[in-house]
Amino acid sequence: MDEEHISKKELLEQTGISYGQLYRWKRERLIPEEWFIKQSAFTGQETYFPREQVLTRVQAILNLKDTHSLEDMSRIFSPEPGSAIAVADLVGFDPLNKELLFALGEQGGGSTAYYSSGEVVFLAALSPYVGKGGFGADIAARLASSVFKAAGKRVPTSASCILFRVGDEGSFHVVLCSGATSPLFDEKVVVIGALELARNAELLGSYLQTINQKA
Amino acid sequence: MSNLRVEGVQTLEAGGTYELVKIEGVCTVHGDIVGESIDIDGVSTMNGDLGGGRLDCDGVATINGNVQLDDVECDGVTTIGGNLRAKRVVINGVLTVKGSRVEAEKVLCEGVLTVEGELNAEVIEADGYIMAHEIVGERVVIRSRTNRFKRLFIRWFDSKMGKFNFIEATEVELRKVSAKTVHGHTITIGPKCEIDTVDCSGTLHIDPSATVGTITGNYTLV
Repeated sequence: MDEEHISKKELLEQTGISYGQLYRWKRERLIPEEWFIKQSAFTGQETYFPREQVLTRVQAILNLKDTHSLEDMSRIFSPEPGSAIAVADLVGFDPLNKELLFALGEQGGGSTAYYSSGEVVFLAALSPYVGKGGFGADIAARLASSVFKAAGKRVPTSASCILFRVGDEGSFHVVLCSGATSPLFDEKVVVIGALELARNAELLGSYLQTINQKA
Repeated sequence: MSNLRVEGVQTLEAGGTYELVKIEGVCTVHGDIVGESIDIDGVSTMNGDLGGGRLDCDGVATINGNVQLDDVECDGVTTIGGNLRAKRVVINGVLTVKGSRVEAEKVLCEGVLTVEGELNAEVIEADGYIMAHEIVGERVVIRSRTNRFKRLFIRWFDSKMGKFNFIEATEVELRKVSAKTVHGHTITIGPKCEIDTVDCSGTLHIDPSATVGTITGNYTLV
């Protein structure tokens, strides 16, 4: 495996967690199943993880585990992708570009009242790219709308997601693939960036907890 | 909340939420069911997901869907077509899970458990027969032994049960188990085990009658 991945053994050694903790967190959806990439090895079988994502996630879990229950952490790290969130509740969610949300509503590509948490995570992950290099809010909204149509309400939040453009002046697209592996493109494709779905799922989970507590 | 009681021979559309579900006859039920308490004493085929509190199966149940309950107790013969997620699973009969995973806090198996995918539980204790592609968790104890099942189906069980591709847990204790790979922190390879590869990061005990191929890791032999 390459440097972008870390073996399970190395992960356990570096973070000091046990096999039991790792599998408990997998069971509770704190670590997405898609991040467990199995390969045969001389020790019989070895599992690899996307290095940066899993190390960040384990550290975040370790920071929260003394103050939050497993159920609370599960809601933070993997909010149910299909659950509905009112647009009015999204006003205070900072990572989400409100111009993009407005454009999506204007185009009729999204709901005027509710979005699923998977959709919000996607929009928040797309937000940092909006307004850069010809990727305006209208174009981003059209792209989001077509992703929502393709994925239904359940936009996966643990997948790899790459934003790319076909040629320097071409149209914008995204590709979502499970397994946390990065796809390879031909040279005419301009890769703009990787959308941080998992990170934004965490941020949304924390945000929803905060507004629920206030309610 | 209403109750669902089925007696005699019936086929019904009965998806919904119930306090008590009791099946005593022979029936086919279509629809997702959520029940606080589900008792199956007859022969039942359920085409849908099953959720809620407790499932007690003394009869023969085939559930063509996913099962998510607090407690599952299987004294009869139960087949689950999808995945199983529960807090506690107790098997004195025969339970087969055809989905890709079983997730539980505690699995106690004195009967026969077959999982076609991954069995992931905090604690797995098996004195009966257990077969799974992978077993992972905090504490895995498998002590295969001769019992009433073996006397009935000796050859079949010997060829199928107690054989694993992969076992991984913080604490692993095995007796008369064949496995390709065992990973853990505290590992006891008991009598008559046959293990191809062991990777241990803590203490390792190997019974003299066990056969172990490659051993890796930073371990202390005790």
